Amino acid sequence: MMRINNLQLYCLLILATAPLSYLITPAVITHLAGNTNWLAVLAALIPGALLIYVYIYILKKSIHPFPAILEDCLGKIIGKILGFVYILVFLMATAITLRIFTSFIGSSIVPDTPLSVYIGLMLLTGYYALRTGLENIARISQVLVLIGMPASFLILLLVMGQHHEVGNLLPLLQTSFMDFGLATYEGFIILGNMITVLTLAYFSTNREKTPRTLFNVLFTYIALTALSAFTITIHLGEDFANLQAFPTFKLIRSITIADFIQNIDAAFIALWIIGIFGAIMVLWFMTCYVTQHVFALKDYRFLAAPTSVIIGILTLKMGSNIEEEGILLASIFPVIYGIFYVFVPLVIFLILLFKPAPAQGVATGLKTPSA
Amino acid sequence: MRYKRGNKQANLPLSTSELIAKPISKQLQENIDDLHRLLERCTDAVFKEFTFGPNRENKGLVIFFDGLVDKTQIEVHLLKSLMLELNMRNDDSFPWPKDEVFKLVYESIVSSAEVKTLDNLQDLCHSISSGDTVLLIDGYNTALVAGTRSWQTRSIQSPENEVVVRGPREAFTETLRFNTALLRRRLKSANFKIENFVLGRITKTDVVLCYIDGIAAEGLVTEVKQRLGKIDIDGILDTGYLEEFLEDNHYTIFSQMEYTEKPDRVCGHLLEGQVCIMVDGSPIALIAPTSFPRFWIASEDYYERYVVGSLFRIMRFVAFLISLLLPSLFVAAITYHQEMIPPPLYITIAATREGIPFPAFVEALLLELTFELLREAGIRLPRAIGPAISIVGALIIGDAAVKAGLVSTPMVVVVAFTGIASFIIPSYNGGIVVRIARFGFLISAGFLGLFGIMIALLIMLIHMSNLNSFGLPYLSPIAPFDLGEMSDIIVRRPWFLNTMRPQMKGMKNADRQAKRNSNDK
Repeated sequence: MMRINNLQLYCLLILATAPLSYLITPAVITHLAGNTNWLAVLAALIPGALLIYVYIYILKKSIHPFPAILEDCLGKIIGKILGFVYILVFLMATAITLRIFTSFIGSSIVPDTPLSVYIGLMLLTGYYALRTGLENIARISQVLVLIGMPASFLILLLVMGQHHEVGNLLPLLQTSFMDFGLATYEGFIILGNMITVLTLAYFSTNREKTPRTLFNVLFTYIALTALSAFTITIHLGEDFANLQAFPTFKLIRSITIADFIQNIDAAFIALWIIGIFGAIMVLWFMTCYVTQHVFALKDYRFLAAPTSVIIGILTLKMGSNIEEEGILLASIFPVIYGIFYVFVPLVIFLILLFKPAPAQGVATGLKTPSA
Repeated sequence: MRYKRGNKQANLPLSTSELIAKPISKQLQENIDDLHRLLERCTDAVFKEFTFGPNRENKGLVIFFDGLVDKTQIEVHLLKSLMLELNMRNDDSFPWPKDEVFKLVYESIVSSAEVKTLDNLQDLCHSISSGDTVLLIDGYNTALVAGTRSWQTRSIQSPENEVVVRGPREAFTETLRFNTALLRRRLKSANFKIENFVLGRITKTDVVLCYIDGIAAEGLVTEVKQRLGKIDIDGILDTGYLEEFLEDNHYTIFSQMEYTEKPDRVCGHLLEGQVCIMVDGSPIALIAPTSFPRFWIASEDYYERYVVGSLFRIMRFVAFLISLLLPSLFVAAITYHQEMIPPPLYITIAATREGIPFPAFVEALLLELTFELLREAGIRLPRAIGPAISIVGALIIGDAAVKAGLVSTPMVVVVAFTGIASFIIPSYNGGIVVRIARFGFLISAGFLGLFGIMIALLIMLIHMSNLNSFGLPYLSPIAPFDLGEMSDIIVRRPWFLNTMRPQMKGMKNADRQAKRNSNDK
């Protein structure tokens, strides 16, 4: 039985949520909410906490990990079909994450290298990680988060130390409620990637502490995203930020230390490579794990090879330019995420509300089986 | 027909392998014949036949290998006792027990400190090959073995590869018993166990497994014993042979066992619940389990004050990063990410690179290769000229290459700085890994810049985190993360706070020192 500890669970969930939001979410939210972008992110704390409550309740009432939960609640046939759809959802989530990343690298860093080279190398590395199993993925995620998280905050603090205009924050709440709501939704929806906890919690050595871990992830995510949004506003200003495809990247480019160290965006890219790699790894693991369950296979690791080909093709075909990718990210994926990461868990939550609790002594998502 | 063939076979002399498996015969002459056959063409084998007892009616044979024994001990404790003193006591007050000569000799006559018995030729040959002397007495099918080992050995010297400023300066030698004595002198506890194994079909090498009972995990000791027991090879000449048999993962550049030539370092590891394996003929001890971050630790860290030790550790960690990544980062920066370099610095670099015919990647690769060649040559050359050749070689080749316009000065500086940084890593096997991996990073940087470096780092990370050393994750305590233990990896935890041993699965006694009372000062 694979075993991960709660710190590793935290790291896996952070990787599933934070890296993409660090680069993309502030841009999308600033576009919608203007200088109140950071407030929109803070507001996402409420739906985020509610979503976590839904996940916790599902874990509390379920004795099987996701996607077996689907079959337990919706019946075998619907559960299997929905499980299959989830395979596609996770595949797409992996592919879009990879696509956004490679587009960014290709457009901003080394434009002469074909995207397929980046995609191929990332997939090769991810394949290697996946072949080694969840325990190893958890260990890797720990190292990535240990390096990446402090560095991300440090970069933001360095930006805050540069020239900034606090007046950019005013006037507050000039945005319409609609836009503010949409911005909050955009800030919240990435947290849907925490659905992976419905599987990962069952491998935890201390399932009872999963709720605490989930809230820690929520607070870290909100802190990181809100701080990025806040920094973008005070440093770049709403109008200039809206002209940028990747305002976070622009922020980092502006860092100058002692009039000597400058243009340290490469450091950010290095950071983002490991972050996105982590995100891909977690989502790809979910793809393989759900596939194993839906098709009743013995192992998930061998699926890394065939799925890598599918992800590779999907990544190449998804959005022919960065504008299309932006639409995919800002308009299409939030809907898909909303349905599969929020709505379906909500339905399961409602079904489980009327189901009796598992018998005393039976291991659930929040109860570690006795040795 | 079958009967005839069987009869014919019965008359054939035994082969050497059959002969060696034979038990010792009661007939001394038969034993002498067998041993002469077994040891024919072994010119260093010495057979000394003699008679002893009242009227010299008992026959005996002493056999040993010349050069492996202390002849004075044989003369004093065996031959003199049997041939001279015994004959001098030939009177009624000392009745000669004709039926129990062997018992008398074993218990009362042979005065060696180390005496044991054996009953077959295989053990006999092993004993004399190990430097013991065997006494055979006519009429008895048991041999008496006297410990007379003594040969020319290197004396205990200071370590060659683990030089320290502060701390013990003794190093292991090639003689196993000296080495175990060096450990025993430091660990004066009955719980310090030294278990013996004989490995190698031909070499019959003595291998010892050392651990502290009550601290080392039982599972770990059992696992090491099992792995040692599975080794079936003709010869073990160094601990390096064992390392490859014992490690968990064979297909990796990362060493999963530490090695050292310092007894104090071994003792430190044993006190942390690890085990040590030593081989006769090798001055290097293997330590297991280990993890990669431990390669940054030097025993000296614990002898210096904790602040100094911690600073050294941090410096070593930085040196590790420099040694691994500096050339590749430099190549990536000047090839793909020029904007990262501050303009004044970039102008200087660009000016020195003007006219250089090679791309930065090739330039770095050539210089790194040259550096490695010089380093290797410096080790292999005779000690008197080795350092001189490597220094002169580096100066002349470096200077000539710059003057000829083949390489740029900044690249020479980068490679030289990297080389210096790589010497800071205290563990030789840890350093080798970095040296090898550096080339991988260099190639990745040459082809894909910073992205390539990150991909190479990720692959290395995945590979390392998938390794185990006797069940201990290779990246622990980084992954799985353990804050308590990390405080004694990145920095050196003060001794007064070092209350617990590093956590290992199955460790019996994790307490290192008594709990301090809060009022204690």
